[in-house]
Amino acid sequence: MTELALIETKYLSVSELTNLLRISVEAQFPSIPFEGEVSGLKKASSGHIYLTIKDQNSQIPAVIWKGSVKIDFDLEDGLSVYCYGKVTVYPAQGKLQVVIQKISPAGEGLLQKKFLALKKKLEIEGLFANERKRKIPYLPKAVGVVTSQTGAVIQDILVKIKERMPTIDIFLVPVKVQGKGSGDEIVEGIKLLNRSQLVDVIIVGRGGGSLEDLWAFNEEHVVKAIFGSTIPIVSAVGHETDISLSDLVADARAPTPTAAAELVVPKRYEVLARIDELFGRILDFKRRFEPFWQRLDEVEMRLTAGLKNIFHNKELMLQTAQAKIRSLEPANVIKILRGNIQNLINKISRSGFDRLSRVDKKLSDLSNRSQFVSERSIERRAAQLSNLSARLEGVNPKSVLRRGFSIVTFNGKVISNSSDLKKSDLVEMTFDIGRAEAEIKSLTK
Amino acid sequence: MVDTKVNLEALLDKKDGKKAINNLKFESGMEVLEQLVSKVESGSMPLDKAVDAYEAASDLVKHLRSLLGDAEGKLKILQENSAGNISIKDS
Repeated sequence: MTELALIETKYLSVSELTNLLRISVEAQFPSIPFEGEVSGLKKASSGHIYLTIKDQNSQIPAVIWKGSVKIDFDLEDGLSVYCYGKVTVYPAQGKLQVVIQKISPAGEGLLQKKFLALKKKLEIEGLFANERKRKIPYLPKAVGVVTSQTGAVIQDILVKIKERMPTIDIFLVPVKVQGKGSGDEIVEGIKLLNRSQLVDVIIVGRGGGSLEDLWAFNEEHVVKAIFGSTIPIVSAVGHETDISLSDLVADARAPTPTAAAELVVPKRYEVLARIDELFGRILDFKRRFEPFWQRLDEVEMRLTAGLKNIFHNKELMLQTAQAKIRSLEPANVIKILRGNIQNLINKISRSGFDRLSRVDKKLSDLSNRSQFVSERSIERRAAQLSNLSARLEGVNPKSVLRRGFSIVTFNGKVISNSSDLKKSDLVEMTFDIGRAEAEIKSLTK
Repeated sequence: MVDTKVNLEALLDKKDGKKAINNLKFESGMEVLEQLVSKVESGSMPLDKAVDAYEAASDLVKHLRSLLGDAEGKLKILQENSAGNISIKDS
């Protein structure tokens, strides 16, 4: 002190002092890990965060420059944190402060330890072995989901499944996915779906969060429930970077709920197209052989027809032979002979009778005919007769006499020529009524 | 993976084949269909077997299409009360 007083004193400005302090402190504590509790948290509109980290006896101001540190948890007063920080001096106030380079909830560290320990244990037990993983069915009849009813997870899954395979039913078992009792609910959800037999694949999941938020999916009973499920399980826990023990034990791990949906159902139209394609191929094959079928059918038909003919012929032969054999039986022979005799008798009697009746008929025909003929000739004759009698009447001398003529006979001879007479001949005159004798007195020629 | 090796013969059975086909799950069915088609195409099958294979494939295609269904799927809420009764509700 006295020495300082002796020489000419060089006074540092406050700025120079704080700057010196800053340089020396920063050199000494470029990045120091420490832990404490957050208090006096202030988020400035500039985006920087001002806070104090304290323990029971001490406190130190701290700052988190905007964008310099990743914070994926709720930073709030009272939270125990692990930090890495550079100790510096804030010249404006000449106070020490820590510029935080890294911060995480203190619980995480414990959880992290727990996580690693449990992971190791279950790994040894063989829960994560690939060999024991069940195959996810290609097309489930229905999908079970164990997650929160209100979260985005179920919505994402629904949308994706509807898009790919709209015919699939989804059975949701609503559960708490974080906080006290969530693990139990998840376990019960998995068991319920197993009991219900409604689904043949299950998605278990939740959205992203801190290790603490996701913790239910790292609990041993949840991991074992997934392990013990008889239905294959797809896990979709947190973001792609968050790995849970559920992810490790599940039969398949999906980085997101949407990816989980893609894992459990195929695209309907692709499947249909594949079926059609395969069927088309086998149909082609069938068509190639159609000409052969036709020929085969033809041959078959011909064969059947041929066989039919052969059978028919044989049957005929058989029938003939049978008939022959039957005809040689004595009883039959007698019967036949008797029949023949009867036939002959019939023939004979029939022919005798026939002949008689034929003669009879002829006779009656003849008589009919003769009767007919005689009747007709009599009629004709009668007509002739009346004609003749009429004509005869005309030439009857008596009828001439009736008209005044007389017949002169001489010696019984009718005189029609006067030369046949001589004078004094006595002639007889016949009148219509009466006769007279006359003497010829003269003759003229 | 799927015991289609054993199934294939059974599926071609004239009497019980159809039943066996209708018992197939979708994925097994698809595998069997693929196998049938490639077997038939390879020409290694005797003709009569190939005919049976074609019949079986037709039945199988019908079955697979029916498994794909055409009814609209639904979201249902599955829950169990304290008495252990399972309830299914539409969401």
